[in-house]
Amino acid sequence: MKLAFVNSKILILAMLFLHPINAVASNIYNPEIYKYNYSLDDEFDDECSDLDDPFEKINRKIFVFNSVLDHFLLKPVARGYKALLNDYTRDKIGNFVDNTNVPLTMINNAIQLDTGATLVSFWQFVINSTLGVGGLYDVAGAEGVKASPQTFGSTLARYGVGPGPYIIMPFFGGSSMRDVLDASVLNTAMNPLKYELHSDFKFGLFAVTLVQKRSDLLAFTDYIEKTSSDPYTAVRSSLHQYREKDLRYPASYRCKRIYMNK
Amino acid sequence: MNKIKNLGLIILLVITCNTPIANASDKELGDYVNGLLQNFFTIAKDANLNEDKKVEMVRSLLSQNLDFDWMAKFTLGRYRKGLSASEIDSFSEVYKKYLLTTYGNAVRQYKGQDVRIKAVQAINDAEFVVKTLIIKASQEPLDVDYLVRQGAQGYRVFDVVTEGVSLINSQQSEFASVISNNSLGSLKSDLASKSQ
Repeated sequence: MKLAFVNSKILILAMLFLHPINAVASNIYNPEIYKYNYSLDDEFDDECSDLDDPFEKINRKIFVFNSVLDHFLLKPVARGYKALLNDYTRDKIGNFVDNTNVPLTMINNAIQLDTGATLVSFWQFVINSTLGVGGLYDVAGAEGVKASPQTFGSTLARYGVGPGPYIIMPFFGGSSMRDVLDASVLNTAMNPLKYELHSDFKFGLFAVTLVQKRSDLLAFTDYIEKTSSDPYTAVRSSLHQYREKDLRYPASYRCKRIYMNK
Repeated sequence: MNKIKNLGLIILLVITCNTPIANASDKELGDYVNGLLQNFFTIAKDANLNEDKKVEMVRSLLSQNLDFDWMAKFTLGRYRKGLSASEIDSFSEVYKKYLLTTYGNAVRQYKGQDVRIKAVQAINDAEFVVKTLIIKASQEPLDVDYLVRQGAQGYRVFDVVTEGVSLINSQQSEFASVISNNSLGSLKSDLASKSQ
């Protein structure tokens, strides 16, 4: 893995010299957005508008298991975290956590052969890590230098891999089959920064990330609990739509977004 | 998923200002959505109103600006084709009450957000996307898109897409699951119970 990191640094440096800096601005955001057809007359294409769920029976059981764990462990901690820290502090912690994942985005942009986005993520990380005081302040984002977060699942999507069936893992939650290894393995394994961190710091970062993300989701999960007739399906659908919005499928991908650019 | 904060509130930010306009333009549509949201903010910030009064006013504004009947039909998805007109009307009534109740209550969650209109794009001659940023100090802005249809009675919002998550597409998946595993009657009972 050390070798992989060294190679990735060489790749990034090579791109820095090969690509003009003015390409940065044009690759900041994913240009695609809507894939839904709002006509009542068209045939419904569930394959594109929701995840296939052949393992629904076992998924629902794991969903209940995870929900119980969340109710008694993670959610109370997240509520305490939110009550203890003000918006400003949580925002800065969120920026810090997000910044540690930018190298992962950079590597995946490089694998996608998107030199512009690779450069954007490189400068985003450099600027925020220095001028942004270790990532606490999103100085780059304020200037429009911000790459859409990318994982290995995003890279697979870029090469035309669809989401596949819905899978819920104990402790890790739900995702598509394509993305199932992102949270559990690849988001760490493919992030060169994580190899440079002390194990104690990595554990602390993991814990803070978990609580920060859960606190961000409190309003959403409260909303689901109060309004949903089927929380399992509501979460699956929301996860799918949220995930899809940042993906850049090839033009030939079967589930085409029908509307216009962002 | 860190940006899906205050989802209930954001969905609720579809309010007020029923202003019929004959021909759509980018500026008119932007002004329409901005007007909706600013009227909501005015209600939410009004220190002279108690919470119940705010909820009542927001529900009134919602009822004037959402395309409930069309949304109800859309959320039924494939199951709509097997239903009679009276069954669809009956569901539409339940659905309207459900939306007004659940999203009317979201005014209680208002915490100083503001809006910036980013762009207006046409889907076709009568349907448009108004792209906005919901802004709050010390928080990352939220991308919220309002899908607006121009009809005989003026503009009506028919979907709200928060960070890529569509309100009515999510409901379509959810309702299909309930109908498939139980029945339409079961779904209506559940929505009615949440409308109390």
